[in-house]
Amino acid sequence: MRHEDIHLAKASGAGNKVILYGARTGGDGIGGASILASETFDDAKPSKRPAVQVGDPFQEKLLIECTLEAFREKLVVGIQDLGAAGLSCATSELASNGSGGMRVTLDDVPLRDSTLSPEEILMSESQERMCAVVEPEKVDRFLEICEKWDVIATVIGEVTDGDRLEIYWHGGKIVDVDPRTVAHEGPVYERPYARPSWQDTLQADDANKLPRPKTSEELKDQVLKLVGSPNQASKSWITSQYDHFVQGNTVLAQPEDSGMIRIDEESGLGVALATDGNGRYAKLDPYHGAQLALAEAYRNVATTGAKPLAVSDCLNFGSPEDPAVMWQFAEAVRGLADACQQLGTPVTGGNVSLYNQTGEAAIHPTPVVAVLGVIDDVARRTPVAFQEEGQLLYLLGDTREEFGGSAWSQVVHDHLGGLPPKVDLERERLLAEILIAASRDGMIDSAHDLSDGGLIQAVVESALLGGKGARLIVPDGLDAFTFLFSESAGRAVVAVPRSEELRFTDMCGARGLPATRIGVVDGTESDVNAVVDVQGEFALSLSELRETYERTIPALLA
Amino acid sequence: MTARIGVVTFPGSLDDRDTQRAIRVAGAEPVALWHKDKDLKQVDAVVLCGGFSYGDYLRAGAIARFSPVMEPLLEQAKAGLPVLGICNGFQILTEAHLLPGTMLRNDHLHFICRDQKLRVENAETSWTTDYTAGQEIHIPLKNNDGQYVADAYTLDQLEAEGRVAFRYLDFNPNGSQRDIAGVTNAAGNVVGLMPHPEHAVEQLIGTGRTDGLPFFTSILKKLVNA
Repeated sequence: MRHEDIHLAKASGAGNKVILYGARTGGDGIGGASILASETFDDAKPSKRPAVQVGDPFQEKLLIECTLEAFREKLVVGIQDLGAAGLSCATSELASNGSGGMRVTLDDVPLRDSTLSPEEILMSESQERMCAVVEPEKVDRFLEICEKWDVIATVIGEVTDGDRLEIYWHGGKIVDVDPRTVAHEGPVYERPYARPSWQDTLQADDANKLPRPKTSEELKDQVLKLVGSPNQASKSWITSQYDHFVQGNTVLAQPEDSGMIRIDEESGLGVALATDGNGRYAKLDPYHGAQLALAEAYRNVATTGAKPLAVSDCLNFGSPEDPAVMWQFAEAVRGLADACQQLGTPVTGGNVSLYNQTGEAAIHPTPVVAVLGVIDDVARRTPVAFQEEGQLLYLLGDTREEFGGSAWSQVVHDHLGGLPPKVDLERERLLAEILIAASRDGMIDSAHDLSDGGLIQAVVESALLGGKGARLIVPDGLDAFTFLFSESAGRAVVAVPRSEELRFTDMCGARGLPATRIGVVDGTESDVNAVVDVQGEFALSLSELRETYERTIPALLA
Repeated sequence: MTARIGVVTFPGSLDDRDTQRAIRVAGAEPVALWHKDKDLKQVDAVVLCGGFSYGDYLRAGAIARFSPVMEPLLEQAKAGLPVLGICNGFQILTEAHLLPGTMLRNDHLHFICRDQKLRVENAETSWTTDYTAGQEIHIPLKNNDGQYVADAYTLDQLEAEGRVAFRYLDFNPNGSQRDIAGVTNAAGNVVGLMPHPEHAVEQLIGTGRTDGLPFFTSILKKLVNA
């Protein structure tokens, strides 16, 4: 969709018609948003109707096609979907964002259940409904398009030149408000918050002091244990249950570092999107944990060759009525805001999910961050999979002893303590610039960001995806354990064709990004001897790694 | 002068744009057909694409089969108009009895989306002449109701007449009988299969293979040379 085709949620122009279209309004989802946003899951309250709505993808598809066709014919002045708080929210937001008022007749709303009361009609969160504001002379054509798609559409009101939202029911006026007071002037909570008393103890419980593997055999066993742990293992059992080909523009799909679609067939312009979050890091330090989520999503977008531009998020926390949870929330928001300022990535919107707890036990604070990027030509994208034998593996960034919140500490020691990896946003920016330039100029053939599970996880994934082995050498100044399992941020591993090595290392050197040669792509999976080999430590065959990586989730879920 | 190939959009069709693109990539001219159309706009061939027409209500393809556009399609297909049914399109063709058998829910009861290996068994249909018999190809597969079934007599007949057009290789993704991925009618002008050749026509997109393109170049050659 192009800029000029974007339609805003505002109702302007007195006399313009308000059209409700899509599914009929039913009794489902009444109070849905307020229940989900304000109650924990331990209350076993009976309810006659489900507060959570059941979606209808077929109706949704018709609604989307119908809406896009109306857009193409420029029939719409303003438009809004019906989400939380249904019609009451959509009408008040449309009216308050526009220039005038709005008059709505609730009797005209098509109902699934004729016994609904007016307040239920206003609050219903039945899905697959939209509200459009249409000039009177275009109403007929708009209704025609809805009819073509078998979508029910009804004029339920009009924009007025006053400044009130007026709603009528059986001839009587039941609502008469200034829409701004409904849409924008909600109460502001001043929840008490305080750093929890246990935070210091948690941070003092240093994961770097946990017992480390003493022998090569132990190291190898721990690699396998990590690769086969639920958080690190292949998720394809889940992702293969979703269509990732539809619309024929998919350039990169899971398990790549970011999803990428082509949006212009002529120029090859594309967008990339990655979402990341690590509740364990955020538990140890919500401020930096949120920044690490942003840094990882930012890195993932850059790793595929796209320039990170904008941010959305989903902030998942326990009950904000608990001052400790509220502190986690406040710290995460502050961390994210500071980091977005520094990286120059605006937050365009987002979602908050609170009260995720059972009794007193809240989930880990889990800010999930989505980063959207743009790539000029998707043909230049960089995949995760190793492409060709003989290509040189380079580790970009600095590796430190950072095991707080790591996958290793969880899987091997069932431990959560210490501090998460250090955040260095300037380093993230530099790494991103290098990855994008290397992609664009054809200096790298594959790249994978380093995050949970560390370097060995990344190398194993690139090897299995490409069906190619790798031989690794522990670089000077690092022990094998730290090399393989550290979760230091701001790192990626790239495969460089030999012909490009000098150009690539010169670029890294000139920009001041540490680039360490750590090995080579070697062996193909059709050869049973193909391995991921760490010189002087161990070799694991691709077949054993694949078996370990792929069996976990089906064994747990299938 | 190139061939005009129609792509029908039903309510709930998902891959109509992709199919039109594949036709374009092959060098033919795609023509959008609407399920309520009562004629086929004089197209030279028709593709029924994937999706979930009418929400897959009742059975996949069962309602779409009664759409107005199906009347001229049935009539002309019987007279030799080339028709390709992909996934939901295949289901519609079996519901319309242009092809034998039917599709049940996948035996493992999950939707499945994967790059699927196939063997081309019949390279003489209107849609497969650019393949060679026995050729092994990879085509994306994505379905919930892809388990091909028919009675033993029909299956034996299909085999004997060489009307099993495609077979799953290495892995049967949905429990289809005799690994059948696609079939043809006796005349070879109507072909249906569960995998999606329109998703394998550009090197950069989808699985990065172009193994599906010969479907569209086969029909183009046939129509242009006719």
